[in-house]
Amino acid sequence: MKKGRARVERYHKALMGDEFPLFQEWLTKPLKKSLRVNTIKADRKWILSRLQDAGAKPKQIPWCEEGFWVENRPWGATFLHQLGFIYMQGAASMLPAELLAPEMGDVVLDLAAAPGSKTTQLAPRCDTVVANEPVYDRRKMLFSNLYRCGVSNCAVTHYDGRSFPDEVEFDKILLDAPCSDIGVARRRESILNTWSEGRAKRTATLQKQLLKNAFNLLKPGGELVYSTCTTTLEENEEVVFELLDYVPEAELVRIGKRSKLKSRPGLLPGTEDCMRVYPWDNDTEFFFLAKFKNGSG
Amino acid sequence: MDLDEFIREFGVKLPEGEVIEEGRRLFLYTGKKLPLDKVSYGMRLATVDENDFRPTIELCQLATRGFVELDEKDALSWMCGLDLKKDLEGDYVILKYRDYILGAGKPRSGRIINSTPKNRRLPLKYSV
Repeated sequence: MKKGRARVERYHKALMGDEFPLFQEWLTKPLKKSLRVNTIKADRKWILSRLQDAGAKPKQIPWCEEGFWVENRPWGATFLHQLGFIYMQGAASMLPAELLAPEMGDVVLDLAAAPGSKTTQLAPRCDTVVANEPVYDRRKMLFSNLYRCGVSNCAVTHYDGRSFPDEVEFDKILLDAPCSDIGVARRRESILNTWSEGRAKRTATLQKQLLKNAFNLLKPGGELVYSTCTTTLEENEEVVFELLDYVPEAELVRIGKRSKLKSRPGLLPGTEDCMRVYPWDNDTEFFFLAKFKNGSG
Repeated sequence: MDLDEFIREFGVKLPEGEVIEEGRRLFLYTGKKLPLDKVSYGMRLATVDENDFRPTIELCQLATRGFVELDEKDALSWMCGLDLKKDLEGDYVILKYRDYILGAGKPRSGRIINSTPKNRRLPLKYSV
């Protein structure tokens, strides 16, 4: 067994308990292809009929109206993709924007936006979306996807998310935080080679700083979704505790059950209102989600 | 040609918003202006040089008339970034295949010059 995988398995043996054999089985099982239709460019029905013309049999992802599982084909090399009608996106990765549920009139911040999958998902549902990405190469990907999808209500900024200025108060904020990426292993197994518990802990320090600053940018009554595509307690439940411990206005919002999505509560007492999504429940990537409300005022 | 001429000639329906010039590029921004620096706004409409106006695929997709219809072979070649052998006139033509608007090209000496950005092209193996 490769060293990276061995480290990952050692950490997860205790975390997953009885489900550890499932974890081993699903950790690098190839991910089912999924895409989101881009309703900025055309309506859902039109794009679906073009997908069917291309011989696809799109299957609805139950938690996202625009999301579909599709056959394993090079969808990136199609007219539909290159002209901006579809966006290749993991099925679980559609959840953060769904749970944030912005409304027309909202000003939304996507604090760690590249490559832009969630920004392009949020944009048609709100008045304005600010997509922040401090890293130049990642910002290039973000621009490329925003242009391809025809997003005109987006402002792209490049602040360090820990010091994003508080001149604007946002109605809704998404922090899909940089993480140790265990969930990515289903798409790219090599990610396991660089995984270590130490790296997860270092990333958690950054996540805590990002989350505290993000919360500070919320309007009173505003809502924030924190998400990662990883499994560790350090990067998920412990980050939630950090915000709740240090920011009295932060209220954890219960994420209700979603139809046809099997999910689990957070693993530590006090985080039951958070959501964990495991690959073997819905054939998706790993995901962790927590929702907060600014209870001040 | 400039943006206004392009809009008139091709019946472009631009959503309500602000056209922003950033260096040589034109953008359309339909969101709220926010008091942030370090910021770029909106959807790219075109690149403008001294004697040149290059519309993006997204601007062309808002056009309503003046299309040149392509067959599948030419559409694939175009999406692979190849010029097309066609004797046409005008500053620009907007190319269309079935319901897909593929972008704009410049007719020059019996060809339509392709300036589709590399990241929007199909791999060359798809050309016929």
